[in-house]
Amino acid sequence: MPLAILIPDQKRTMFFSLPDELLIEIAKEASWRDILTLRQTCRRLMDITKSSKVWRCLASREFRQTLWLESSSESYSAEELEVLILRRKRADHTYEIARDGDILPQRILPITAEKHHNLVCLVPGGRWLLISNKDGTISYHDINSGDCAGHELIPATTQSRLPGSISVDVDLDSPVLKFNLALFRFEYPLNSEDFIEIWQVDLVVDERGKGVGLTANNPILKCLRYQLEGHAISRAQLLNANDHHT
Amino acid sequence: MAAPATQQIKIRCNDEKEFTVDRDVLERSVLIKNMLEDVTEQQDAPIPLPNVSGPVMAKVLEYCTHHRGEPLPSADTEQSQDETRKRTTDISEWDQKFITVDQEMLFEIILAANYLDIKSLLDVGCKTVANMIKGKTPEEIRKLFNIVNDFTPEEEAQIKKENEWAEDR
Repeated sequence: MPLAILIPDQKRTMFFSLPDELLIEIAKEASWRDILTLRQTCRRLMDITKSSKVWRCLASREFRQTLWLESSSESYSAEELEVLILRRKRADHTYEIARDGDILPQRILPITAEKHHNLVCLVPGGRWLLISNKDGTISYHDINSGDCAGHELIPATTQSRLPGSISVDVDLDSPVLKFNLALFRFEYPLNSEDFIEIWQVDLVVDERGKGVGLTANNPILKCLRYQLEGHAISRAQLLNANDHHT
Repeated sequence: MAAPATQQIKIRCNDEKEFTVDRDVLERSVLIKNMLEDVTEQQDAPIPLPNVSGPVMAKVLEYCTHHRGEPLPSADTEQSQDETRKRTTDISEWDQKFITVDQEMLFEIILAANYLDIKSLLDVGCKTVANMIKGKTPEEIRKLFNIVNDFTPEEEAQIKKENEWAEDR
C-alpha cells in the first residue's frame, strides 16, 4: 500500500528551516495565549514553548504587581514561571466568566487551623500564608509546597497579647521580596498597654537566589495604643532608628 | 572643512553576487562591523558572506540604508534587552512595508539578520512571524507553516484539554 509522505522542498526556506534559537526568538514575541496554541501544533514547537527564555520574556512583560515575583526571574525555572503566569491568567479568566458566587476553589490546602483565634493573611504573590496562632506567634506557610508546613516567623510577646489584625506592606522597590508586617496586639477590654508592632520581613534565598523561607529580625517599630480615642497613637518608641518605618 | 570621503566596502554573497556599499550602511551589521575593525589596511578583496544570497542581501541592504545613522543597540545582556522590548504590534510603517514579502524571503531575512547580527532587523522579522500566528488555531498555524502534526490522537486530545481554558474564540 503506497504511503503518502509529505516531503518538504529542501531548497526552500521554510518555518522549520529556522534553528531552535530563532524559533524561541519568535515565541518570545508572541502572547501567552498564542504560546499555548503553538504548543498544540507539533512536538518541536511544544518543546520550544517550554523554554525558560520564552517564559522569562513573558514574565518581564507583566506588571510587577500582577505577577509578584519574589526574586529575579532567573531564579525561576520555565515550569515555575509558566505555573505563575498561567495561574494569574486563569484567575483573571475565571473571574471574568464567573457570575457572583460561581468561583469554585481551585486549590485546597492541607493547613490545620486551631479552633480559636486564627488570623490569616496571604502575602501578595500568593505563596506565603501568614497565620496568627493561639500562643501569640505568627507562622508562615509555603502554600506552593506539598505539606504547607508552618514555620515560626514572629515569636510570641511577653505581654501575652494576641494579634487582632495583621497587615502587610510590600516594598515594591526591592528586587527580592521584602515587606513590613504590622501587628496590633491587644486584649479585652482594650487598654493602654495594647500595642502595634511593625516587623521587617525578608525572603530567605538559597545559593541560586531562590526563595526558600521568610525571616523577621527585631521589630523596627513598636508603639503603644492610646487608651482613649480610637486608634490614635500616643507614644511611639522607635526601636531601631536606622530602619525606615511606615 | 570637507567631509571625509565615505569609504566603500565590497562584499560577496554565496551566489557570487557582489555589492559595493558605504561603510556606515554595512556597519549596521555587527558581524561586518567587527570584521572591518579587525582589518587595519585597506583591502580590495570583497568580504565573503557565505551564508547570504544576493537577493536576500539586496533586501537586507535596503533595510540598512534606510536605518543608517540610527544608534546601534548597546551590547547589553539579553535580560535587559528583554525588559525594554516593546509589544508585538510596534513595527514602524516603513519596516512593515519592507517586511511585506513572501514567507520564504521572510525566513531568509530572519536567518540573514541573525547571521549578520542586525538585532533590529531580527526583531522586525520575529515580530512579523509572531503577528502571523496571533489568534490562530493550532490547525491554522499548521497550514500556514506546513507543519506536520506529529502527536498521537491521544496526546493531541490531552494537550487540547490542558489548554482549553485559554481559548478565546
